[in-house]
Amino acid sequence: MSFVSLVFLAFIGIFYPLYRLLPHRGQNHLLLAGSLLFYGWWDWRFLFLLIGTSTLDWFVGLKLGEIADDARRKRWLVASLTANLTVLGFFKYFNFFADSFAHVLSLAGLHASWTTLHIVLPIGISFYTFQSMSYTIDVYRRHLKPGKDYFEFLTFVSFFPQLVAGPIERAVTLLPRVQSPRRVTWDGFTRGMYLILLGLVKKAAISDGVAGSVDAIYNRAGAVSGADVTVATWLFAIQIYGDFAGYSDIARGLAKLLGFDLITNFDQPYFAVNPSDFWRRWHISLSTWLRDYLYVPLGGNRGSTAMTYRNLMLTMGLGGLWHGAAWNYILWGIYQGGILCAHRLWTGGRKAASHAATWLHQLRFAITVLLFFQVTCYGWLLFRARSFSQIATYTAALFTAPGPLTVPLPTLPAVIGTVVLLALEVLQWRARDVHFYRAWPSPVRGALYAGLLLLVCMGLGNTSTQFIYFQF
Amino acid sequence: MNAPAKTSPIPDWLATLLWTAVAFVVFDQALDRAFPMPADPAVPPGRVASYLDAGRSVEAKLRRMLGEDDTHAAPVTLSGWVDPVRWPADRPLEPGRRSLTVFGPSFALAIGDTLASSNPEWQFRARGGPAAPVSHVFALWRVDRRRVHSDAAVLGILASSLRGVNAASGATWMFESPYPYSYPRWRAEGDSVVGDWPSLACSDSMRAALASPGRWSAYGRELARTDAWYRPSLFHASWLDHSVAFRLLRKAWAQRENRLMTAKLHDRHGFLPGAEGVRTAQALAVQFTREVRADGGVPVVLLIEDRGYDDHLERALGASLRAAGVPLPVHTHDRAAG
Repeated sequence: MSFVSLVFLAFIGIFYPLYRLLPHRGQNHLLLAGSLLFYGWWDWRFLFLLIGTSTLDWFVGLKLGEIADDARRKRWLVASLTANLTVLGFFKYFNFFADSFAHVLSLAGLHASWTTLHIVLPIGISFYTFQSMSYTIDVYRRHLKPGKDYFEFLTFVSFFPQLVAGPIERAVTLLPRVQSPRRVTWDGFTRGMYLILLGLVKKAAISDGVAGSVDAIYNRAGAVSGADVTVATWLFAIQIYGDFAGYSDIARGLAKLLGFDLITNFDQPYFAVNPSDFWRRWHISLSTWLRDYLYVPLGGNRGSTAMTYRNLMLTMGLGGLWHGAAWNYILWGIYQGGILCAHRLWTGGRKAASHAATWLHQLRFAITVLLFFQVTCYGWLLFRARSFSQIATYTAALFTAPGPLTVPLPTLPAVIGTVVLLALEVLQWRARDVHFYRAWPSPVRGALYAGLLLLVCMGLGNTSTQFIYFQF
Repeated sequence: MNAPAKTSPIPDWLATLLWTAVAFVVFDQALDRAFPMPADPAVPPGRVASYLDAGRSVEAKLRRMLGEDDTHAAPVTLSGWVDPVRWPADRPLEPGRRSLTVFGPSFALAIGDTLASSNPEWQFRARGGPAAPVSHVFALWRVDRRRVHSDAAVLGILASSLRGVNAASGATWMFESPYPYSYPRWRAEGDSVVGDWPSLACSDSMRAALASPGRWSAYGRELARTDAWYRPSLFHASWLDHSVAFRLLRKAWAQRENRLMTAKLHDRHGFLPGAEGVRTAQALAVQFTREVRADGGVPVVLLIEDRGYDDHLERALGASLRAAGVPLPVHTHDRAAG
């Protein structure tokens, strides 16, 4: 079930009072049952996969805890990773690679006549597979003791607020919260409610409100101008941020209501000044996962310069592939790897100073942010396009066909919501505090909450779309 | 239960909650007053007013659109009524010309007009209403055939209006921009089609009902019996119409109902075989053909695929109608393709 649905409202309306009434063990049992219901609502058959891979990883975790011999431990780890990646690969990538292989053969004049399997992609498979894999890797590395209680482990993997679109939590942080009693404070409750409200604004008012304008250009069969591509891609940047950060906010807010703290997944990503900065702010749970479980094991930046670039390209290329079984996602990953390498080459790996104080520095910072936003947006063009030919046509239009602008206006809540969100992000930036608004007097805070609530009401009237990141 | 922390700032929390409620009401009413709909229904509203008003109840929208009488009504409310009392007078058929009557939504009327202007021997007439579904159009044919003979009669079926076939009013299935006209919900019975004619069949009777709570309730009961799209919470006015937030939530609710109802008829692959809209459209087209021929005229059925429907109407109805002897000379999707 989607967070933005009546059925979820009914679900949480029944679930939450019960949760608050129960003791710790009862809460965990309810959490597990609720999570399985939440996930199975889409398709009950998906539950077999979720439970199957979780059971395997829990069992492998136990084995890794029992065995002292490193070689045997490694074999268990490899078995677990192979099983997880095989399941992920089969459900997510089989058709893609089969179709691509058939296409390559057809280019060579050969006809491959096999039946493409109509495999349904289980929602959120990439998220929970990575979460589950991080557990076995951490147990293997002895960063974490294996969980003895199977149901606690299953609750960790299936934790419904972040099950289908993250943030990807590490067992080392989330599992202990499942295992120990939790306390919900008023402070946590109100922060959680604010996050939910903000997430709903991002999703319902902003993301859904600009979706139509983006689709009008990216789904257009005829010619487009450079102005169309530019504006539609800016809007897509807003759409995907609203969609994904909105989901993460709602997930974090719900978790807070339940007494959990999830990782901050987005930290004002469009205020980034370079690609390295961007990836410290965008989809933080994935970028840190890739860093810790792929980039660093590959050697990170510890080897030669060439090896560092190879590792960056490999990590980002696979990060692109993680997003979906399509070549444009891989191309997007390669683009991100490429700009990371270029930035590293330019700066020599030194970090830029941030938050400069003088107005001249702030002006320079603002200009840099705006310029780098364009670099990010070209990546979004690769991400949103439906084919290589569309990428080529739209890229050419940017340079050869400046006008006219025919992008339909986004909806009213999208326009107001974007302005409000930008204002809130600037205020947060200036205060250097996520909870800056809590220092405001209660009438001002009340006005903020009321305004956001009204925006959500407006946004719910947008034709609802699924969260983009469910497909990953 | 996890008790709140003892250090919780409950007074501040409560104060914030109260301020939130106060601010919400202030914002809500400020928006309501800042962006009113124009009093004159003939004056188009601004974008913001229109957006904020879209969730107003159907009853309130109809009151505004219909005005005190036809001279004070929104022009769009004057068309589509099945009672011919206010139908425009027909131009007498000129000697040497034959009459072509198009029954359908505005798309069909525009196509008929173009056809007639390029074929001087035809004199064009039109009967229809905005976004009229085929059941409404068929009702107009039934009324019209009693009054005027048509040498050729065209029945326009619009893909996007097939949703309205199981409704009984343009006010229920098009919540955000309702049309007041009403029409029977037809069903196939044996070799014919039957339907209950609406009690409010012209703008005057609708106005009279709006002025009488008893008659309006009776109309609500009639719609509850005959119209699959009728939802009392969307249809009837209440004091909540004055709240912008409530209107926005009602709009969201209406969109949800719209999606659920549409899902019974159509998915991204096309119209669902066996759905009421498809079955009824087929029965009505066959019956229309039969009746036009019985009257000595030439029947034509026009399938109009509007944007987003690909060739779904042709796939849902084309083959079965041709097999039933319904003449489908051309279909807009083919025209668009080439």
